Amino acid sequence: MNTTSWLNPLAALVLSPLLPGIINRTKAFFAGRRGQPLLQGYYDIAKLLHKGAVYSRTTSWIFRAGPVVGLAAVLMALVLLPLGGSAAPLNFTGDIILLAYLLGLMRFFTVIAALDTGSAFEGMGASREVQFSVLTEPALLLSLAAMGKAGQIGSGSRIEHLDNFLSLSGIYSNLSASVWMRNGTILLLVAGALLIVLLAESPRIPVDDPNTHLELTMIHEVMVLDHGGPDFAMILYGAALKLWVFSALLAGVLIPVRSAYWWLDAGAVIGGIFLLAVVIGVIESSMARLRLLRVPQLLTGAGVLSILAFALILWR
Amino acid sequence: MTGLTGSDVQGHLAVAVSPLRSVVLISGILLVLIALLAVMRSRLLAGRKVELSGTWDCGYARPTARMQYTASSFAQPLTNMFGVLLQTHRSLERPEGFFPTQAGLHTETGDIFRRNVYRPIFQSVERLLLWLHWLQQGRVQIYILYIAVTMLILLIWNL
Repeated sequence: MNTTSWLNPLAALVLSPLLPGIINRTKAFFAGRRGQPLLQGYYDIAKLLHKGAVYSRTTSWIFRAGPVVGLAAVLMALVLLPLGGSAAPLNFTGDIILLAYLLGLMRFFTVIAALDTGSAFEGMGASREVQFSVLTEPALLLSLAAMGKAGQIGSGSRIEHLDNFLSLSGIYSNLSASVWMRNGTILLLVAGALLIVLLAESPRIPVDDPNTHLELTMIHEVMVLDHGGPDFAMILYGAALKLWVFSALLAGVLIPVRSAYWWLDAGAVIGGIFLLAVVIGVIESSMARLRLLRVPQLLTGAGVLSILAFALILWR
Repeated sequence: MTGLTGSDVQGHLAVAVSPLRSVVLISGILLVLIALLAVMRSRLLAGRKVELSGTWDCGYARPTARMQYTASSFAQPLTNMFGVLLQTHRSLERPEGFFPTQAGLHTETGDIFRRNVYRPIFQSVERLLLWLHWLQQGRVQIYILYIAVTMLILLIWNL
């Protein structure tokens, strides 16, 4: 374990609330507005941390545990996440599954906290969240698996070594420009699938509109309607960190800079994460959200892209 | 017996054990982190106003437990999506007239494996065994006769 491996968790902890700010500034630019300050995410969290709380009478300890467990789970997910070529602070064979299920644990507690309020709105949001995650989870896992196999073939070394193929750090350290030259199609399919997964999990347009004011059409926002004060601060911070996790996964594929300097590799990925925030802003400015019945089709599309990538890499 | 040496077995076990060790470590850290965050939250809220109120109902005055999301409404998008496989049975009683007094919706998602695989198999086994039911007379004399006949047959077999 070296000190550089802790750079990603630290960068995420410090910089992730910037991402929503960048998205909102990009949207403001497209709409011809000045927009909110870039640091609005930090201001919101700081303000909420200084507030009291209001709880619904129908809620139990589950409702209070939701934000705490959610934030803890996404913090642990960060520790598994590699940055550039350097390995994550903790990595082992099969940690891709643990990553998926740490995020699953976060989602599970958000969902049961929402159901705990007894509100039909929040039940509706929880139900949709679970439906969509059924479709995004296989897309995420298959994309990572296809990427691992592509990197393994591309690097041409240690074919039999499982560590390289089944751990996030191994998968990402194998990626490089030469892998893109050889398996570009597969990585492009994977990037497409991961972009859809990122938009669905964040959750942004075209899957969910974070700015909507109508409870009936919300997904993520409606699940956290009844949270306030420090609880809501944890939820906002957790959501920013989750956005960072998925952006880092995608940026790691798109910008595999492998130079002699670790800070250049890491800087490229962090730059890529901020660039992705701009891209999300552009996507949100240029299209409306999909009808709820159409969303599963988009997510199935992500699944198909990842299955195609996986099939292509297996039959090479 | 299997032709493997001790070190071989240990090598293979290590492949399975080392990820498990990491999973345990990470789960441990996760639990500590949850406890720390919970303490931090209660520290923050100590001395501040923590109120109890109703669930946000969007201005609707009298929500009741009957309007709550039930298990089947929660699962409905998924049961719809996999409707081809699940074969949910749905019976709908529409409200009729201007002041409907009755309406209802009943859905039932059975276990397709129980219905299409296990039940037919076990039913045919049961039918087969019922066919042998005449053997079971309930009289001790007849059972002793069965034993005697069996032993006789075995004796002849061995001759």
